[in-house]
Amino acid sequence: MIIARLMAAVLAALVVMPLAAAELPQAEGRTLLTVGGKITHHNSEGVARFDRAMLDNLPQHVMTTATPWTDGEQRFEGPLLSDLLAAVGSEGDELVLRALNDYFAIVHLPEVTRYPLMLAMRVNGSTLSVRDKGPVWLLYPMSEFPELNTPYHRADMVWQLSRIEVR
Amino acid sequence: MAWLRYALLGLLVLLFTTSALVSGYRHIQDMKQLVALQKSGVWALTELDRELQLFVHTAELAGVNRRASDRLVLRYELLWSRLKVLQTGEETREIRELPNALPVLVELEMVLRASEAAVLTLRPGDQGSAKALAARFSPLLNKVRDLAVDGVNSQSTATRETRVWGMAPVFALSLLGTLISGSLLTLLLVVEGLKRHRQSLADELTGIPNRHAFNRQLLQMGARQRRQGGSMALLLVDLNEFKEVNDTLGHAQGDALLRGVATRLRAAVGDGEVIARVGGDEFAILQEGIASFEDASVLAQRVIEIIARPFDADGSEMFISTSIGISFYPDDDKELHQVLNHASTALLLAKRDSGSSYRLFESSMNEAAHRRKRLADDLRHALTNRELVLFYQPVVGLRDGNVVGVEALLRWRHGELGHIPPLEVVSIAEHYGLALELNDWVLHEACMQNKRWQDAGLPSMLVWVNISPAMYTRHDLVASVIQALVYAGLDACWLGIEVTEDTTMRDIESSPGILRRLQELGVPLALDDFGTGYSSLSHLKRLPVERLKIDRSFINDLNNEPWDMRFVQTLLSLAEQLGMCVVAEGIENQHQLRALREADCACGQGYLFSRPLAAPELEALLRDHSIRQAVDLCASSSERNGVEPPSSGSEDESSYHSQSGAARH
Repeated sequence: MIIARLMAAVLAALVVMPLAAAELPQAEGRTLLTVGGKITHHNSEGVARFDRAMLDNLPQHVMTTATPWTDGEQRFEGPLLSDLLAAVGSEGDELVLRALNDYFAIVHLPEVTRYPLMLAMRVNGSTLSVRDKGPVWLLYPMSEFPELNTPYHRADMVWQLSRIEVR
Repeated sequence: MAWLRYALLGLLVLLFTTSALVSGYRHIQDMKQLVALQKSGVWALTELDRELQLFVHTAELAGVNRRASDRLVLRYELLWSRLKVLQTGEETREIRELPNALPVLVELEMVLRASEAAVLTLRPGDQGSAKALAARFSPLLNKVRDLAVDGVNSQSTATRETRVWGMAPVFALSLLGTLISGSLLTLLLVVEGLKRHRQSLADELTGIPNRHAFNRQLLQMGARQRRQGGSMALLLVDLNEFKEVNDTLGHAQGDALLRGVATRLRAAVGDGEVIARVGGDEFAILQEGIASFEDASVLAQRVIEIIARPFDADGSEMFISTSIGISFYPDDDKELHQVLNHASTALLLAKRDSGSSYRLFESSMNEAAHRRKRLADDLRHALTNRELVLFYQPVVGLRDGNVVGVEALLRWRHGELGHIPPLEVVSIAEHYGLALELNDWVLHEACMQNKRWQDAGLPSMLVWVNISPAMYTRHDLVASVIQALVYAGLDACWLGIEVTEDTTMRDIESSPGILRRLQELGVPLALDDFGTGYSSLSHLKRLPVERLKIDRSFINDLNNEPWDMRFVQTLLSLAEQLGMCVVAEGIENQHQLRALREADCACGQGYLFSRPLAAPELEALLRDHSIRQAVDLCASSSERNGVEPPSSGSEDESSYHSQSGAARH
């Protein structure tokens, strides 16, 4: 299962590659997510800014999972964190994830490559608003990988994610 | 046994490392757990509290136009999300179950819904509306705060405690592992250290105390005797011919013998007596609190007796004799460290006895050593003060009675100690680094004397000089010879060097070519004391010597009836084969002279012709030709055919004989 996921991630990365290799397009709408630090592709003063359209342009995935903050399993949609990192040419091995309310968590790269971590943008078909922990919520596939359901990983599931610093 | 210890040690280290790593890992996990616990329910509540304050604050700032309206909207949305976190999901269930929680959360939701329009429409700087907005939320500030306090205090604490205590057994277990393995490692270290300490004091082979331990015992015992005013004895026990055992039976047998001796010694000593192995085959016994010197002698006899019993050597019996040197403290010396030296001195003398023996140290034993030291000091002065003189003994052609040469012999009459035997002079010079000075002096003196005789009109003859061994091994003999010849103005052919068999052996082994170079200079070489050393015939063949001096012991045998000429004749024919001339030493009577003449021996020297004389006296003898009288007498008696040879030497002669061997430098 993990291998299949990995294959899918690799395939997705390959598909994204031509797009990533080209210069990142300018964010025309409101910036939802800013990626900085050790990256090779920028579209604004050393950082990559993503508006909703750009995030929607990344390969989209569906994940049905329960979380400690929702009731029952929910159907989430959005790009994978690994695809986003490929798109900006990430060269670090540690991510500092920062939320709108300045909460932050640190995630190590092996976790990102081992599990399909999702930048969820829709839940049950509707767009995640700030009050629903949107517009971007980093979700771990907890239902599929029960070992991720620990207090430690829960702290990494940053909602209202606004900035990623690659180190 | 050793591998078992190493395996155990490895296992312990592994256990220690593993449990330490596990402990460390558990610690990290537990800390994360604790942090995560903080971030769960109560965390959400305090976050709500904080977000509410921020929103009220932001509303006030917007009122004074210091915050954009979109900032206010963001805070509004974040506050909503905080509320939702507390309303939904497993993580915050415990908070919702708090008695006061629901009313507060419901009230907050209602205020939020009611304020939505006001938030979205608030224009920055509209202080009135902003104040009204903030006023709606203000009453909630305290309620949320109280709720947060409740959350921390009540139920969640209990939950947390159970969770924290849940970690304890695992943590304690891994800690116990670290503790146990750590203690065992420490114990092992201490045990090992004690063993090392014991080993450092025990002899590895025999298990009895070693030299290091012995020295400590000696110091302690010595201090005790000083305090108590008693005496103690130190016995040094040495196995005779132990080297033979090692060489013939092998080192394993030698080691077994040493162990056997140690065992017997241990059984032989009683209270107040300490044994130790202080050298290869040397043991020491300290005997404390002795009543009389007799006690040490009794112990020594007992030791000799128990070691004399046969040892088993691979089924056969082996007999070992012992030598023991005994010294007493403080009777022999007030200095403790000297006691060991004195025992060694006594041991050396005991070893000279044949078989087993023991010797008590006597101060006279040190006198020999003192004499040597004194002679060494005085020899330096003697060399410069002309206390040394050379005596000369003529070498006579046995056919015609002509003097063909003289052998120079060293004489030293010491101011207080009297006549010093030449061998002792040479030995001291070699031992105290005076060999070069002494030999240079002898060479110079001999060359100059010969030159003086030549200048005085005497017939030319060789002066033969004996050279001490160090000149071959440590100094440049050839250079010394050249220097002496040049200084005296003497032709090389009139200086002869007498070499002994053992110096030529050294020459061949360590500095080949010295004799060859002397020969090339034109200096004749003679092999001294031939037949007594250990030279082989092949050795003789390679030597560039031109004459052999037959040792006096062969000549002495000619006194026996019937004349035992076989050795002499063999030597003579051997010399003839090799093209060498022969000199017979120690001719003392007509009897010997006649035998040698009949065997066609070319030359001879001995008391019959002249004893060694000082230069002026010899010169007088040379001038009056009295030396040839002995040969003339022999020749005439041979013609008369059958006069009985005179009986062997007078008292004077034999006394010369007895010292002449040593008189040879």
